[in-house]
Formats: sequence, structure tokens, C-alpha cells
Amino acid sequence: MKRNIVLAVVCMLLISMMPIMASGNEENTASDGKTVVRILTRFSNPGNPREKYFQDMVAKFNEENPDIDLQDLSISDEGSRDTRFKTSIASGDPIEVFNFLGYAANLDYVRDGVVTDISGEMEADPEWVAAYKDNLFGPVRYDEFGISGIYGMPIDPYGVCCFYNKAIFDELGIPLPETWEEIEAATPALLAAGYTPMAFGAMENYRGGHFYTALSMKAYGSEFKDALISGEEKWNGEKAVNLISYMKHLYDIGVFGENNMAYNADGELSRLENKQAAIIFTGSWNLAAVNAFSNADDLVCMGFPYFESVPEHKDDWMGGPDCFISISSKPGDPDYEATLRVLKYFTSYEYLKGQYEYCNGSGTYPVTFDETIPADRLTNEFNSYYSNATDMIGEIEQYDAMASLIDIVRTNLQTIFTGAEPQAIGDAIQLEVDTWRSMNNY
Amino acid sequence: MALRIDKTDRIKAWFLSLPALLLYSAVLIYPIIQVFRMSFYSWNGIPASPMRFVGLLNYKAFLSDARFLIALKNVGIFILSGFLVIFPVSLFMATVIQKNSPLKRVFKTCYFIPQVISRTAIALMWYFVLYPDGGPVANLCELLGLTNVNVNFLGRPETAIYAIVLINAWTYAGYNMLIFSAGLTSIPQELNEAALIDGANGRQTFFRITLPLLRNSFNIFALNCIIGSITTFEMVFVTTNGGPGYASEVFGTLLYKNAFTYNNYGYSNAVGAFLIFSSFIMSVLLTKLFEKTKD
Repeated sequence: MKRNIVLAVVCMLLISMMPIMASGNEENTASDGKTVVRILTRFSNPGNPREKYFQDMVAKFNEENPDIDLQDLSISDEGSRDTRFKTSIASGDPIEVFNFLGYAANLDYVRDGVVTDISGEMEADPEWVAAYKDNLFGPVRYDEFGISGIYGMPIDPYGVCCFYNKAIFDELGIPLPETWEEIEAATPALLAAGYTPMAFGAMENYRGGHFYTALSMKAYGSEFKDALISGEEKWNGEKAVNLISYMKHLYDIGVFGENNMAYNADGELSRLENKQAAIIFTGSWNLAAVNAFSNADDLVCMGFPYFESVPEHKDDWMGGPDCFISISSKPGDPDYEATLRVLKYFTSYEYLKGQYEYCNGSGTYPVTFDETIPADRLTNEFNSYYSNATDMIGEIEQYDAMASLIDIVRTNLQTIFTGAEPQAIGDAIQLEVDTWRSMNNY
Repeated sequence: MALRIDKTDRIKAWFLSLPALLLYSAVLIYPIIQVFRMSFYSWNGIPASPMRFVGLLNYKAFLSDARFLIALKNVGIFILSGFLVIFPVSLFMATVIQKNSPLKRVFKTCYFIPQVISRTAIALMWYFVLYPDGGPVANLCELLGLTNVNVNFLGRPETAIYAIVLINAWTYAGYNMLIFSAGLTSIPQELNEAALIDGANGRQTFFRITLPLLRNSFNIFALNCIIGSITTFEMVFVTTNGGPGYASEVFGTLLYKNAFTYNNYGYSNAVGAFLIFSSFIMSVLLTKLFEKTKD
């Protein structure tokens, strides 16, 4: 009996492993002979002009390239996009073309060969990259980690900014506040009139992460980021906790209004359009969307507020290149040629120029256009600030090789809105960092 | 007379069982073994990346993680709510549909509707019902003059898990109603009639006859409730994603986040192994307990 049971278990295991052992890499070929190429971005909302443009161009690509079946898997929610991407990698069938955020936080994907070095293709086709601004490739170069090459094409340089509803400030006779001290001073009057001084949709945890980095740049400049990443500064150290304390102070005095955990970034935008919020903190990626608002004429675009007491960091920004398009197919793969064609199409000068025209000159672009469209007022206002930036960084956690840090920092900062104490927040983050570093001998 | 099974019959039996065994081992046994195996490694989810053997380090990190205690507490709340909310509600509903009422079928259908809707759809529906900014519950509170009530039930750490637990109760009450209804049907009517003749009132009949005879239904309910609570995921994931902060974290969300947000597949598998192991242990313990109480 025992022998039978053992035999049965062994048989079950061997047989169940057979399909796994037999599986291998197969060429992505559709039944009609077309090469299948999948593209994953966060452009899936047709209500946003640049995302609608992307969707239209996917359809156009399929029309123009009958030998390729380009499948758009894009999804706007960041978490869902990440899950889709990571599942495809873990299952050994990585999506061929995808948006990539670069920086040290994504080093593993480069080091372990998921993302393909495209520097050779760039050299072979200089016309493709001729109009690109050179300084935008930093986050997809990994020379400091001993890895040469370029691992993506920038498509969306950005800068954080604020949109002000000037009509509200005019109504209350308050000049547009440019500093945190001025915002704090204007808060009682705005609250008394029933307005949220600065809408903050904390339901999405990335809002806190963005705000923290932008605030750190105005308070300390980029040296603080360097010190945090090197470990010289701690997340529960005085400087880091001071920033959290200041965010909590703003929340406590009503700058961010109420019910922040009840809405997200889209909620911030709707509050701006519905004249419920006097200011929102967002980024240049929303220029086209805000331009389409019914009350766009009342709105003004300005830089992230600075501290009167720290004028030397007035023009230090959170921003820069952030979103890249990368590929996973390798030279020699059956779908490499098709994948490269897709990459070049969606990062071509013509594609970007088309987007520029579609958005009526709104937004920020990685290339210099030979003909400029007279941009809308909001874009011009944004550019007037953006061009004065003296220093610019992405979100602090992106510079750390600990991939989970970005979510840990964001989630812990979110607890500001649920009553957590700043020191406890800093301690919780630092504990995670210490644990990770000890486990990874970092 | 003992049944004699010869060798040919035994081979036939194995042969006939093979498809089921194959399917079972491919979809269950192999993944479970993989979960346990990978929980001893550190791996970032990239096939080309080497898996590093770390022994029990993932378990150590998981059990000492502050979120483990939060998840444990929340699972405890789920289990408690099962016994304190779902059990009485579904039993009450089962007694209602046992009555000879013309509306019996309507009640039965209404109670069972949540069971045929996808869990994700239910979670989303309740997310919007509880939406604090113009959601139906918020509007109702405003209508009733409850302006001091903070209606952001899913967005506050002190209420988020309780809001989810109630959504869960709403979802599963209908299913458990069917279990208790089957139990009630199997109770011989003569017993109740005899009790009535002996002068027992409704309350006495319920507590002395009905409830003890529902033991088998209760056992099924208890097992489902405890195992379901330990492995709960989708309701929490869709409504709060374990937040605000980590307030409504459960083991399922910890597993998901560690794999798909943190690229920490070894840790994630340790959570998975813990889930499998604790569910198995609980089923064994409960089955033993039920057998004991039977005697």
C-alpha cells in the first residue's frame, strides 16, 4: 500500500512537471502570420488629449504595418501597469515595448537583461535621435553601476508645478501666493470663504511622495537627496522628519482641506475645475488636460511654492526626464525587427511633432521642434518657470537601488493624513531601509 | 464478506484516476511545492536573475514585520465578524426562507444575489456606495442631519477594516443562508411538533432542538469562515489596497505587494507558505474539534 502511495506521488509530480519542462520560448506569431508586438504604457484614458493621440497612433501603426499586430496593453493605473509588466517578466514572456522609469530603482531590469541596450541602434540611425535633447538620457544610463549603454528613449520630460484659480484669489483680494509663508497666511481667508487652499488627493499614495521630493528641493536642494541615498542622512533624521512635520503642519492648519483620503489626483483636477480648490499641486503632464477645462481662463500656472527663508533653493525643482520607452526583444530574436520598428515609430520626431500639434503646443517634449506652435498661456507660464530651474531631480526614492522604497515612502507619507506622527513615519521608513540593506549586504 | 480486488482491477483504478490525479497535481501540488521551495530564496522576479538561498530569512523578516501583526489582527476581526455578524444574519435569513410565505422565492433570490456577482464588482460597488464625496451613504447621512459623522469609512484607519468586514458580511450572508437552510430542512418536523406538544415555546424549540441539530451546518460555516478570513484578498485589495497606510492590510495584500510592488518574490512566497500552512492546520484542528464535539 505504502509503495503504491509513493509511486502515485512520484508519478503525479513527474507528470505535472512535464508541461513546464516542455515549455520554451516561442516566437510571437499570430495565426495570420503577423508578428505580434505588445506595447504597455500608461496611456489608456481617451479623455486626456495626449493619451487619445497615442491610441489613435496605435491604430494608425497597425494600418501602416500590415505585417505587425501591435497590441496595446496600456493601463493608466500605475499599480495595475506594474503588475502586468512584472507578471510578464516573471513568466518568462516580457512585454516587448513598455514604458520604463529608469533610475537606480529599476537597475535590476537592466542588470538582469530585461531591458535592451539601444545605444547601437541609436548610432546606426542618427536621424532617429537627432532632435533629442542629450541631457534627458541620464536616468537610463547605468555607467556608475558598471553597465554601459542606453536603455530607453525619453518621451515625457516633466516638471512639477501648481495651477492656481486666480478668480478665487481676485475675489478675496489676495495676491497669488508664491511662497509657503504666503500660502499659510492666505489659508484662513480661503477656508472662511469655503475653498480648499491646496487640494491634495492623498488616496493615491504617490501624491505624498511627489510632494515630499518637491518640498525637499525647496528646503534643502538636491544635496539632501544625495545624502539620503548614500545613507549619510536617515529617513528618521532631523532634516527628513522636519519635512514630514511641515507637511503635517500644512494639513493641520487646513491648507490641504479635508477628506484627503477620499479623492485622488483626478479629484484634485475636478476640484480645480469646479472652483472648490484655490490651488492644486501637479505636473506638466496635466497641462493639456487643464487647458481643456471650462474655467481655463481663470487658471494660472506657477512653480511649486518655495520658502521665503530659503531663497537659494527657489528654483530647485522636482522634474526632469521620467518616462521612457524601452524594449525587451534582443537582436537576433525573431520579433526584434518588428519591436524596433514600433519603438522608433512611437519615439520618432514625427510622432512627437504630431502630439505637439494635436495638443496645440501644450506640454513638454524631449525634442526641439523646428517650427514652434504658439503655445497656450498655461504652457507659456509653465515654461517661464521651468526654464529658470537651476537644479532638478526625480522622486528621491528612484535614486535608491531598493526597488520597494518608493512604495514604502509613499505609503508611510500617506499616513500623515490618518494622524500618524512625523517621527514615527520616519522611523518606519528607516526600519525598512535598514532591513533591506542588511538582507542585501548593501 | 470482504471485497476482493485483484491486480487488474487495481491497475484499472489507477488508470481511471490518472486524469484527475494529473490535473490535481499540475494545478495544486506542484504550485504548493514551488511556493515552499521559493520561500527559502531571495529573488526579484526576473528569470535571468539568480535565486539566492537565504534559509529562513524570509520567514524571519515576515514574522518580525510590523505589518504581520496588523494583518493578523485584521484577520482576527474578519473571523470574529463572521461569527458575530454573518452567522446570526444568515441563520435568521435561513429561518425566513423556511417559512411558508408567498414571498419565499423573492427573499431567497434577493439574499443569494451577492453570491452570483463577482467579488471585484461587489467591492467596487461598495467603494462607490461608501464614497465620502457625494456617495449614497454620505448623502444619506447629510439628509439625516448627521453632518458631524466622518463618512469616509474606507479612508480612515480606525474604520476601514470594519467597513470591509461589513461588505464581506453582506456578500457571504446569502451563501451561508443556503448552508443553514439545508440544515434546517434536514431537521425532522416531528421533533418540533413533539416539543410543541410537550409545551416548549418557540425560543426553547430553537435553542434546544434546532440549533443543536444544525451542528453540521455550523461546522461547514465555521470552516469556511476561518479559512476564508485567513486567505481573504480581493475585497481589501479593491476597496483600500491595505490602506490607509497599512491599516487594512491582510496576508493576501502583503503577498501581492511583496511580489508585484516590491519585487520581493521570496518574501511573498513565505507569506504564501504561511497562508497554506495556517489554512491546513486550521482545517485539521477544526475537523478534529468537530469530531470531538460529535462524541
